[in-house]
Amino acid sequence: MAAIRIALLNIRLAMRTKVALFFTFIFPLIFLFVYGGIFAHDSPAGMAFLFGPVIVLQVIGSSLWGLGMRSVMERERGSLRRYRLAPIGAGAMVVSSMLAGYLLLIPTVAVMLLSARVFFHMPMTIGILDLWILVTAGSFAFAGFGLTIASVANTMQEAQVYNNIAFFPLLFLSGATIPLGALPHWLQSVAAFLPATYLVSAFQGVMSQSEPLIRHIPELLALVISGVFGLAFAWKLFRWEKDERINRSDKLWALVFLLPFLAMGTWMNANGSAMAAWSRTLNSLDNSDQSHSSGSAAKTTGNGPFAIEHVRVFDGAQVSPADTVVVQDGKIVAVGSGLQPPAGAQVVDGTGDTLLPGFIDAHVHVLDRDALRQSLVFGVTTDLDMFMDWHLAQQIRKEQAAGRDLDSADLRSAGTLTTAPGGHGTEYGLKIPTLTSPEDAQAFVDARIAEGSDYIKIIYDDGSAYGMHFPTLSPATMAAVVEAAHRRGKLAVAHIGSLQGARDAINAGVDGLMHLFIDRAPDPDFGRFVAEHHAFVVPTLSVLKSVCGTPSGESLITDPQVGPYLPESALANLKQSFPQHPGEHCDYDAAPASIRLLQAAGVVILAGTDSPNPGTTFGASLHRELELLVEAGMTPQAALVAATSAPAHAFHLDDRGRIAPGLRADLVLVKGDPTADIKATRDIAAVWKLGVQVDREAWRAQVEKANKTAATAPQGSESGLVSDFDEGTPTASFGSGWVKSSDSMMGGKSVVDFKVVEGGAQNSKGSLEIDGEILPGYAFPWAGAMFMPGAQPFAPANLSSKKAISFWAKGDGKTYRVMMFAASIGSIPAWQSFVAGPDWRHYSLPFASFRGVDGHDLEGLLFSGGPEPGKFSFQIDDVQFQ
Amino acid sequence: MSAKNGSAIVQVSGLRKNYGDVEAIRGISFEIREGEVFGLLGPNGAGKTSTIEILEGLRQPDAGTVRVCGLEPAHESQQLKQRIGAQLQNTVLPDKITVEEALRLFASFYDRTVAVDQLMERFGLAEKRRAYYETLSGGQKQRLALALALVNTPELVLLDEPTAGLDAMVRRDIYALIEQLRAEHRTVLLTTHYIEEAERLCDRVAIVDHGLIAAIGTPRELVQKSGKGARIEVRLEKTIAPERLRTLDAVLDCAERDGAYFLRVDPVAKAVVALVRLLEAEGNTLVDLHITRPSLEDVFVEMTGRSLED
Repeated sequence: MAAIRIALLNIRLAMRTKVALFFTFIFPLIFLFVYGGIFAHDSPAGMAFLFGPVIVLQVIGSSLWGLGMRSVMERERGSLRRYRLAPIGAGAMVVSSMLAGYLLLIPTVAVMLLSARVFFHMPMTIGILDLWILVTAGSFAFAGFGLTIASVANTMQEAQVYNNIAFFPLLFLSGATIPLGALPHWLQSVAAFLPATYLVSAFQGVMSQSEPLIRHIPELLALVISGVFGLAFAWKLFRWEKDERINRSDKLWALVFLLPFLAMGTWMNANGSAMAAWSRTLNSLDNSDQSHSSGSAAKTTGNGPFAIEHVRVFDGAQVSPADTVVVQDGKIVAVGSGLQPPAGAQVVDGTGDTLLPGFIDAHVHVLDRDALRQSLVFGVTTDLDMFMDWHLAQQIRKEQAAGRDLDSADLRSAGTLTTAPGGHGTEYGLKIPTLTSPEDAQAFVDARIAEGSDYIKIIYDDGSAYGMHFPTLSPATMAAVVEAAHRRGKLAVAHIGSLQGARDAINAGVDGLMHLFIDRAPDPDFGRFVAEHHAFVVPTLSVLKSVCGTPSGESLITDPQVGPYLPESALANLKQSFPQHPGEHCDYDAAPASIRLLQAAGVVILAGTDSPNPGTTFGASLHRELELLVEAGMTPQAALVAATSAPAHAFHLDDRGRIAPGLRADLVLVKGDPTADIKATRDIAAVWKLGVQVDREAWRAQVEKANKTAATAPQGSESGLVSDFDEGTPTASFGSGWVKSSDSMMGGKSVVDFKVVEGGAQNSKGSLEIDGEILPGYAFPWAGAMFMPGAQPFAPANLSSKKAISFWAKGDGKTYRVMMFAASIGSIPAWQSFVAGPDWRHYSLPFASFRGVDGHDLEGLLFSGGPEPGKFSFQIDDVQFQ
Repeated sequence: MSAKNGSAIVQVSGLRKNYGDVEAIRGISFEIREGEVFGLLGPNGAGKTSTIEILEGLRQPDAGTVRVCGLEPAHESQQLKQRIGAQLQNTVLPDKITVEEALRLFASFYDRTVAVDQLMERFGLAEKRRAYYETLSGGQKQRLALALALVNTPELVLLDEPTAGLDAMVRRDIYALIEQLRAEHRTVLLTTHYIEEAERLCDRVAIVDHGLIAAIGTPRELVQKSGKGARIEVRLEKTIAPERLRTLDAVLDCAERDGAYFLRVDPVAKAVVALVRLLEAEGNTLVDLHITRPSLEDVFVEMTGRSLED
């Protein structure tokens, strides 16, 4: 139709004028590179933050000064007169202008995207479809803006005046130049009325905060509606001749164009979450820069008294009217308004921040101490474990009691879980006792308590909901376990996998359900039923998504407030999900439906993550769990209760979970207001355990260093030779050398020693002799010699250019193991076994035979005896990566 | 729906147009019949452009009725524009548009169009098809404007001062093109302030001055209506007082200019005989004699009391 032809002609004409070409393509690129070079140099996250503003600047500029001015100029020049003689209406003229501007914008944005990716390594945190939607809505709205101004102005000078009046606020107040989060509050209120602001905030919400575009539909709607108004106005008041003047009353109609923005601005000011998000986005940018992180800077040093003032206090139940919290000797001593800190106390200014009780993760599995350290870094000050090696649990609890674990979350543990022979829990290779009949229940429970279990964890799941089959306890046995636990004053909680399983467990009297079922939707009575039995529920939505095949933790990886604090193994785990089985019924939506019923009935809901199952990781996943709970219909406040006072109360941890005098000073300080926007919990300013601040910055630096050094192959590793032991000492060509390694570091009793002896394989001068004894004590016993290929002990090294480990061995005829530790497979190594016979024999084991290892992040190579108990002795020589 | 042979394509009655206090058109009425070339002849500011713009639908009349191809330009303009072609007094096209692009673009707006290549050939623009508009000469631009007016094989072609500002050679080219239109029996309305143009191209002419039509008719009819005979330019051997010549039989008026005597006479033959007799009687000799028939210019001067140059 005519409008398209005229638009295409105008584009062709623009391409023939150098000035038009410059402003269409070159100018925006100059802007991208200058702006990016100054603010996003070396910071891909910074470019993701700036990308939206740069695009918005180009849209505004080209709409007002390109499109708008060109319209007025054509009218003044008389170009429109000839068109008027032809059978084209004003509508075709207006639409063709908008279309030409839009069609020129698309390649410009494409070039800018390419430049941002290639030169600034900007991550693709926005889908192409979402980008297209934002660009189209923005172009439409601002074309309407520019053409409205062109219609209202009688001359080019007048148009310039209106353009300038519009341009400068749009430039400086919308976030297109000065970030929205940096504006003072009253200016943010003004900014909420500007169309450019919605476009910038939608871009940044999607690109820097991983928000789905759907969350910004109100803004997009405002832009599209105003575009429609602008189009209609420009059409109605279109003038062909320069001496046709627009009269004053018609000019006032132009203000109708502004109505959608008035509505949006009022709504945004009333509902503060959007503006809270602006501050958060900006702060997250600061935190993602290596050079400065005002977010995690030390607020207090040592364990002396301190006070946090001018802070919003979420006391575990609600936002309290208090604004000051005083801590002394590891306890909260005062909470109130305008309190005076004690003399000599350090003072922390909490303006704009919220103080919460340290979070409690109501369902984890602790494999090592790093799990607890990582939890604490993310503000989780207590971890409730639901199945781990009880020896390790005992050891950690001892250290806790001695006050030696200020860098780790506090641990409570179920120890060994209660399951049927061959049931869920027995498949991890850990040898655990099982239960068959109700008669044995009491003895079983007592044995667990003797091992140190703080509560009893029951498995009631036959796997049928995930297309698997394994044995499970009978309802009668389960009921007997519950009674036995209660008799000893301990809580009993049950892992269930189906709606029926949940009902059976509740009927058996359990105190709480672990996991919500996703085999089918709940019946409408479910909430009331659980409420009548006074049981609590830990939904673990994070892991339910992974069970259904969606790695629910991926958004954490790109979140600049979370990602930098996660070591590579954690990042790898977040990308995983459970393998899907045929016959699996997986309906994730059943869980939020259950939550709604439970909430309506007043059932206590607790936040738990089931870390470190696929898709989860310690600490970070709790924040994701809060987000998922809110998505399922809980208010942010209710979600925060579920992670603080509710689990403390449910598990009788009366010394924590709330901010009140006398309770532990386990605290989290976050920027912004998580009761308005739950994602503010990730913007952590400080964490305290027992009144001592956690050094998040040291953790982050350590993670960064470890992830960086893993990138290149170690120096000296080119030949692949590790050691030939011919020099008389166990030196290695690269890496951090050989160390003795045994399960005693995990609380076991095995012992080992090694030395270089004369005579080696193929008549070489020397070899390494490893002697030791495997003694029972730790569930996975080992003892041997470990070589560490990284620049620091246990640092990952990149040996992916090699394909296999080769060595010679001989010994006492027993079976030994070669174990490989790699960052991406976590703390459990992959291993292969070999027999050390009387004569030297050569072995070459390809990396491929070690499950999950490709050599790019090797942390350790261990030659070990066991797991059978007893003395052992063997020799190795010419250890080499091939 | 085309009009039947001889019927009126344009009917204007009692047309008035004001610009603020200025009355540009003060009540004019005329008709244009199918197949004729109709001229509006008058000086600048007479109201010609306003009239043609009202017919094209670009301006609204303040009073009177206007019908073009049976439609009202003010209210049925989109339909009307499909059927007419027009050339503005000043055509402004984008600098960097090519000749071919302009023709194809405008052709695309209409239901009925001619082949653009043929049009370019006919108007001598084929060589310049890819030239930018800004590089065309004045004549080429005017030819392009004329071609654009014909791109939709219109029932009525409206040309506003089609040769204004062009030199004599170029003007003749344009005349040739317009004469082709005449040969094709197209209905043409053209406005001009060149007498020669009106005399040569138009079937009928309306003389317009100060917003009113002073006279309408074929050029011959108009000249005859003024009926004031011919003009004789005479050069004599000896000077003579103009008053003596004025008294001659059939001489209406005499003026002397640069040594020549301009006589208005009616009838011509009688005046010539009387002149010769006088000269013989006075012993004077006729050096040169030149007779010109009355022109539209004379008609204009007579009707309006002013020359077209004023």
